[in-house]
Amino acid sequence: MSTKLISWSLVVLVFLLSISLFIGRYPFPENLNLAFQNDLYINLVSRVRLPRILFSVLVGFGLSVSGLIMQNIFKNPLADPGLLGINQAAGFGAALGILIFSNSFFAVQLLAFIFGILSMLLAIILSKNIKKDERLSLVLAGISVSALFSAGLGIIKYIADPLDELPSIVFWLLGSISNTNWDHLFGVLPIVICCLVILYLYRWRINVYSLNKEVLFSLGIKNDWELYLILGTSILLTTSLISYSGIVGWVGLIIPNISRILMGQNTKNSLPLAMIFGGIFVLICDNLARSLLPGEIPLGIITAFLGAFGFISFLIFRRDFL
Amino acid sequence: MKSINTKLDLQSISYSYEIDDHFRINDLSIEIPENSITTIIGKNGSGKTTLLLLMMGYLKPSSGIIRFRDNEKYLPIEQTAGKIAFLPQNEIVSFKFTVNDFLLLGRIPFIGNISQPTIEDYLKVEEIKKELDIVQLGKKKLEQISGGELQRVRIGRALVQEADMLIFDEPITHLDIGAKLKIFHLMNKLKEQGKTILFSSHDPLEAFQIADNSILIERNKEIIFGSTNEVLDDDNLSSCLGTSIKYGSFEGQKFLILEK
Repeated sequence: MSTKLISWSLVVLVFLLSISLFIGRYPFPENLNLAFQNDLYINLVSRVRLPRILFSVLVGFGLSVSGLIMQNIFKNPLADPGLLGINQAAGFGAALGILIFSNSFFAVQLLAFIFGILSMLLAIILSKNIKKDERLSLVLAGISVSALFSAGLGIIKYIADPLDELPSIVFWLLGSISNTNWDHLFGVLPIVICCLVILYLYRWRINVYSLNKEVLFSLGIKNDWELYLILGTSILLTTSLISYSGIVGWVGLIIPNISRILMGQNTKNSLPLAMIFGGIFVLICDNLARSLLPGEIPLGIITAFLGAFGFISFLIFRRDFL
Repeated sequence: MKSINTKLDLQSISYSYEIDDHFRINDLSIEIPENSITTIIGKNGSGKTTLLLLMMGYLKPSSGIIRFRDNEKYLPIEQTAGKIAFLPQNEIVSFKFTVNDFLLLGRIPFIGNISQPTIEDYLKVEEIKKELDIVQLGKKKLEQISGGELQRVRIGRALVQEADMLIFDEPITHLDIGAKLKIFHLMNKLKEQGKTILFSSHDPLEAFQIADNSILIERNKEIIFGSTNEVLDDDNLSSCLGTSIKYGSFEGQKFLILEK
C-alpha cells in the first residue's frame, strides 16, 4: 500500500512536470510543429521554464523533508524548517546584501546563506549553554536567535531606501523563484542533492529521535553527533534553498502533516511521500505564481495562501490531523 | 546450592546533583543478584529516578564504580551499550506511531545507522507481541490503546531490545488493578526467563507482591537494601514514609494499616 502510493505520486509529479513546461504567459503555438520551429518558444521553455520548474520541485523536496525532520526531532507537528531561526537570519542576510551590494543577485544569495548557517551555529552554541533538555534548549535558542535577526531585519528595513531597496527586500521576503536560470540551479544542485541523499538514507533512523533521551541512551545511542548531523543537514538544505528562493512558508509545515496522515508516523514511509508531495505542491504553486495574473505573484504568497487553506480544512475535516 | 551471580554491582557510589546540591547519595554499595526482581521504594521526590538513572549508567557517579555482568564477565557500566533496557515514567512518545512501528524502535541496537530493519527484526517484534499477548494491537496507533496496554507495549519495546536487565520507572503507578496484575504476571514470567528486573514504586505493597529484594530510599538518608521482608518492616517504612504504618495480613497477603 505504501509503495503503491509513493509510486503513484511519483507518476503524478512527472506528469505535472511535463505539462508545466507548457504553462505560462507566452502562449503555446498553434501546433507542436510550429512550436519546434519557433526558436523563441524553444528558448523560453528550455532556458526559462525548465530550470524554474525543476527548481520549484527541489524547493518542495527540501522544505518538506526538512520540515518532517524538525517535527520529528522536536516532537511537535507544528515545527517547520525555520524553527531554529534560519528564515529570519537568511532574510537579514539578504536584506543586508540588498542594502550594501545594491541588489547584486549573487551577493544577496551568499549573504542569505551565510547568515542562515551562522544562525544555526549560533543557536547550537547558545543551546549548549542552556541547562535544560538539549532539544528544548535548541528550540529556546532558536527563538532567541530568530528574534535577534528579526530585530536586525527591522533596522535594515527602516533605513532602506523606500523607493528602491525596500521593495526588493519585501519581494525577497515573500519568496520567489522567478529569476531562476540554469546557473542558479546548478549552483545549488550539488549541495541539495547531497543533503537529500543523506536524509533519505536516514529515513528510518529519524524515527529513533522521537524517543526520550534516556531511552536512546539505554538503546545504545549515547552521543549526539548523529542528531546534530541530521539536524545540520536539514538546516543546510533549507538554507541553501531559501537563500535562492526567499522565504517560502507553509510547505515544510503542512506537507509533512499530510504525509503522516496518509503514511503514518513511521518516517521510513512518510519521508519519501512528504518529499514527492512537497515537489508537487510547490510546482503547482509556482505555476500559479507565474501564470495566474499578468504580473508575477510572489511564490511565498501562494504557498501561504494554499497552505493555510489546506491547514484550516484539515483541522475541520480530519480528526487525525496533528 | 548454585551460587547466585551479581548482575549489577554498585561499589561505594556517591552522587550529587549539580543543580540541586541538597540531594546526595553517599557511599552506596548494592549488589543486585542476577535473575531477580528488585524494587526501589520511596516517597515522591526521594531520588528513586536518580538512583535508577545512575544504575543504568545514564548519570555518572562522582565517585565509585558500577559493574555489569555480561556473558560471564564484569564490564564497567559505560561499556554496556544497549544491554540495559529502560522505561522512563513519563515518556513523551508520538501517539501517532502504530504499535508495530513503535516496537520496532527497540531494535535500534541491531540496526545500522543508515540501514532499514530486516526480516529478523520484524520477526522478533512478532515473537514479542505473541509473548505479551498484544498481537491484536499491532496495527493500532498508540493513542488508540489503553494505559495498561500502552505499558505492556512499552515493556514489549524493552524486550524487543533483547536486554537481559530491565529498569522500569514506576511502571504500574497509574494503572488499574487488573492491568497491574497483568504487569506483575509478566514480570514474574520474565524473571523465570532469566531477566533481572529493577523497578521503582512508592507503594510498598507492590514490593511485597513481587519483589525478591527492595531498596528503601529516603532523601539524603542512608539507603537500605536487602530482602523485601527485611527492608520493608514497620519501623523502616514508617520512618521513610513519614507516617506510622503497620502491616496486617489476610490469607497470606499483606496490607497496610495507617494510623489515624
